[in-house]
Amino acid sequence: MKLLILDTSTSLCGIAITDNNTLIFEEEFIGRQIHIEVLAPTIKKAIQAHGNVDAIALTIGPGSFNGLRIGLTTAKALAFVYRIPIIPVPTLDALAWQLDISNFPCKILLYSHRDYFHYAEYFLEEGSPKSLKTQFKSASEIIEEDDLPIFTNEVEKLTLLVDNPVRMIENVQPRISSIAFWAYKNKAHASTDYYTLEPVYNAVYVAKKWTPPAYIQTELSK
Amino acid sequence: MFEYEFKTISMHETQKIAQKLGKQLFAGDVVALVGDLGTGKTTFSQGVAKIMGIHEPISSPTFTYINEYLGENFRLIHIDAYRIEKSEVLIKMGLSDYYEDSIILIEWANLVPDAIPEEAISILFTAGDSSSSRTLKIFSYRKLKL
Ligand SMILES: Nc1ncnc2c1ncn2[C@@H]1O[C@H](COP(=O)(O)OP(=O)(O)OP(=O)(O)O)[C@@H](O)[C@H]1O
Ligand SMILES: [Mg+2]
Repeated sequence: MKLLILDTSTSLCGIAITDNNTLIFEEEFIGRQIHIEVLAPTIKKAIQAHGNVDAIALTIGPGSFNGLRIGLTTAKALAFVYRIPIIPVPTLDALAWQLDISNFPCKILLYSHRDYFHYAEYFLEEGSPKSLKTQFKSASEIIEEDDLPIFTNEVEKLTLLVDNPVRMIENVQPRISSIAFWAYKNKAHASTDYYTLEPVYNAVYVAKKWTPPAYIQTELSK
Repeated sequence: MFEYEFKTISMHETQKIAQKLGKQLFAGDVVALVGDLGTGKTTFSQGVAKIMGIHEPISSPTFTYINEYLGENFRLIHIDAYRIEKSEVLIKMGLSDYYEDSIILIEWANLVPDAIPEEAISILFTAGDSSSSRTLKIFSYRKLKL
């Protein structure tokens, strides 16, 4: 089975083709707002060089709002034209599947914006990482919950945002290999329901309105 | 709420504080700048821009409403609400679309409170006794290292 793998969930943008778990094409780009420029031309190049694929696996979220929309829209268009299924891979699972089993239980955090992270607690079940509910909280709230080791794609931001993280915080980045591995193991999740498949945003940021702090209000009314 | 207070006696000192804060800002952060004419809101914004790796001069956007600059890691959106006066103008412009990749600084934030998210960092600028003394009072929902 030949898979086209797309990952647009973070500022990394990965395009790959695997053939029964062997990587035969891979290109990775990094940068803000790069996805829209590189995705289609790189997919074209990959398919021209390696022929049609049997399915498309992509990280479905959580992750960058724009990144996820670009990735899924592109995947849907291709899947529709080639009549092939899409295998949606949870972004946090793709991170978890890279870790050595000795690291579980742990928390996996994917940076969102400001001091917010998407995260879930992971544990092993029959040798595979399984997670509890995916949540969305600020760095300090997550740190205060427990002492589990943390793996995140933004170690530097997390350590800057919390005071004394008396625990292990380590780096983990999205990788094509683990997305492919997840997809092969979970072929049953393949979907041809192009119309209802949506990114898993996990949390849409709805801001409550600001009122100036009381001190500022008093000063302003003077 | 975390509070910080600084007295500065030169624009350079004000910009130093701005640079310290700027280092700790991320995409989605909104900084509400409040204070009378000439108290240092634009001066402060210049400090933030500098630490973000923006080398163009940051001018006062009083006549253009919004200026956009590309920094090393984030975009900087610099707004002057003095002539905007109505929150709706900013809301309709889609200010929240910038949260994913931009840091937003708003001068005269008190005129457009409804366009600003609850968890903004608020700064009050007041003039002191001498022509070059200013007080900055910073209010933040998260701890800052200043
Ligand atoms: N300690 C200080 N901190 C900041 N600015 C100072 C200080 N001392 C003197 N200044 C001068 O004060 C002026 C502040 O002007 P600035 O444009 O920053 O004010 P502003 O708050 O943006 O005003 P406006 O409401 O008109 O936009 C500058 O000319 C600056 O050089
Ligand atoms: Mg100004």
